[in-house]
Amino acid sequence: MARIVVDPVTRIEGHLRIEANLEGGKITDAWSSGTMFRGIELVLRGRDPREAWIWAQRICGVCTMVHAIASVRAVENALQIEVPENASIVRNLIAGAQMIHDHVVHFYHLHALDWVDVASALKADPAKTSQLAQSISNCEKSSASYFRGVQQRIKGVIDSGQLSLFASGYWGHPAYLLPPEANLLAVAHYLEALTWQSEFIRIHAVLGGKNPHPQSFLVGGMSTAMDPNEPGAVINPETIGLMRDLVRGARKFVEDYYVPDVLAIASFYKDWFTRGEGLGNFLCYGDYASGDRDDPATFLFPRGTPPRLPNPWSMPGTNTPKAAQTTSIPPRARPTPNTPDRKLLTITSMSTPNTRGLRHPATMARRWRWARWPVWWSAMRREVKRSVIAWTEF
Amino acid sequence: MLPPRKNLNDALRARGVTRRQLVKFCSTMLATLALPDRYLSRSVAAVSQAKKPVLVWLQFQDCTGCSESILRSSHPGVAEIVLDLLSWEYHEVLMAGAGDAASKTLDRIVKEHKGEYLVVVEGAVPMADGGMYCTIGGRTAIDIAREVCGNAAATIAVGACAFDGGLVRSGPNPTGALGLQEAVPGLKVVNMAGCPHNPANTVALLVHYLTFHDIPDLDQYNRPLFAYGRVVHDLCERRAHYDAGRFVAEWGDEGHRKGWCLYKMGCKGPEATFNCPIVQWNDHTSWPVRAGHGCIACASPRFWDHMSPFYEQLPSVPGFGVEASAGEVGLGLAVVTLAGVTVHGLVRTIMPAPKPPGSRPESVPERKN
Repeated sequence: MARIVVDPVTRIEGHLRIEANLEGGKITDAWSSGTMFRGIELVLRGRDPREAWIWAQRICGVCTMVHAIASVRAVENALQIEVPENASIVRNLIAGAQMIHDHVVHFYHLHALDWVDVASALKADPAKTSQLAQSISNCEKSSASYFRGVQQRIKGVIDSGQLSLFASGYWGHPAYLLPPEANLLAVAHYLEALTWQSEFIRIHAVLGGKNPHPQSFLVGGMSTAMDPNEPGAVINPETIGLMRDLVRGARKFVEDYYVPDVLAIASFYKDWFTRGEGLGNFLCYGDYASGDRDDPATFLFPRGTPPRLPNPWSMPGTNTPKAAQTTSIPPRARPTPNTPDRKLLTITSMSTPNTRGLRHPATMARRWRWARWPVWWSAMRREVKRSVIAWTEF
Repeated sequence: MLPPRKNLNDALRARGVTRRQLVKFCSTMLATLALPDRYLSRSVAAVSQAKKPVLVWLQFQDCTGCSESILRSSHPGVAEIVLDLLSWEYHEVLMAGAGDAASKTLDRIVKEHKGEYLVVVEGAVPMADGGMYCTIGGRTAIDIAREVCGNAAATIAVGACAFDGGLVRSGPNPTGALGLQEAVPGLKVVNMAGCPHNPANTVALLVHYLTFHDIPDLDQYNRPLFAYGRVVHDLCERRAHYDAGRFVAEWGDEGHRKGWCLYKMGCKGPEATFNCPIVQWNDHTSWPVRAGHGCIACASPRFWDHMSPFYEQLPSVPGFGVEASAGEVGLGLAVVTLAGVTVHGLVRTIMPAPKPPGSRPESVPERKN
């Protein structure tokens, strides 16, 4: 019996160690351990709940903002604060952008090098790669000269002997199953995705000031004030136009690059679909409410146990990636989202919380400040003293 | 520099980079570093070296946000940085190999490129209980930091955690975390503070190092002055509103929609040093104050403990602007006049016998000169 240790497990967030017992080419037992501890729960204890999200957000910088939104919702739930509809929309936009971005980054930059042999891409015929690309998607960058350029670039990196991120790879290992053309296609799109992801996530910068760790959440709403007539407003016609372009670009990227690539690469690794599988199904909390957050019927992503989907390639007549591309999850019957009140969308600010009999905690704290009259009084005395001096020197 | 029989154009062409792209990239970097144009040719030559410097990116008690941040570099794009500018050989979140392959890569770099490679450190270093709160490949973070940083040509700490321990170190500091320069005393560290660090600054620092083989001027916290030499409040696009006394008083009020000053909502800009308002984030798209939220001074030392609570107004900020000063003077004049009138009235009441008409009253507010 052999014991295998993989530490560090790379291309993940955090620090992970896997130990496994190997008998006759099969893993009989395995243990995983996170090898880093920060104690954020202990650090958070006793902090101001209004800002807990800023702290909780730092749990993860790859899935940035998801811990922030969870923290803000927890505080809102505890204080029974109702979030204005506009703030919900902005939160959905931020979370949706995160989900799209994270899927692409996870596939290309965190996961793909387990399936894609970078060195093999040098053996590919750019013309055949171009044909492959055109057969699986409508992607614009699919000419033979484009792939030749990418190949030259990778050749330059490999020939220089300085392989950068690819220096520690397992190139040539028999577990890599893609033909050279598919490898070249994937490497080209690895680089395309690297550029695209930094461009697309500007949507978080618009709505959150920056990414990673956008900074516009508030308990009770969002700081992204909205006014169609104000250049100083966070959301105005100009920023809406920018976000619309970014979302359109994202849709194009997902449809032309991401989905075809996932399906094409997965079709070579079908035996991995059930390898190490546990229960094989997961509970889904659901999200992206189009109305009341407490009503799962308005969720874009339904709550519950999703029906177990059939393996797309096991269905008759759908044994090519091209066909599998059209297999989609049947749309779930759900009520038409309430049409938002136009007046509310254009005039109401994003962030004024509509509380149920409770003032916004920030406002309450500010009122309390004025109640601290000794502080106020000493400040007044200081001001009077300063002005008397100013007067006498006049 | 360039080896014989290989000129600059060959080296560039081999990497698929046009001369035009390279010069554009270097110009952007010079602008960030505020260097004059005469350094352009020098910068271009340094960046296009045939032998690229090796970079090691270590991750300790981190959230990987700083790694993600460098992925958001847009001018130059991250692909150029990791493939063309440097040989980015060890970075757990991106590198191809895992386990033994990763550890061996790190050992090889330390041995073969001793004293030549660059190290970037992300995350705090836990010191409590023998450093057991962060281990990689069975070795503690402090052990790795001492060896890898100790043999490097230069060490850069990115993000608040590597700078001073950041969130991990904030009270009660369960793991005894420290920033890199305190964990490994004697090490010369350049701190790129921020939560996360701004990739534009970090890439500019790398280019500066490659061009001059030296690090730019640093402040007392070993942060480069080009990025941390100015106060956010002084660079802020909402500063005019502060000077004019136009403040957001409540989230979502008129002032908030019009982009007024967030000082009263707890903005820590007056006590933060960072070029955030100038460089901004994600291809110069925005920064937190433009998104309507106050600054949390994320590049300041120990900001998690010192700047929280983040929604409380800073107690006193020196240097009010012109209009505010005028307001203060006006208030002072009003108070003094009121006091004078009151005293005058009192004196008139207490002293019933009026002086003969024509003489000056005694109770005019005193003016000493």
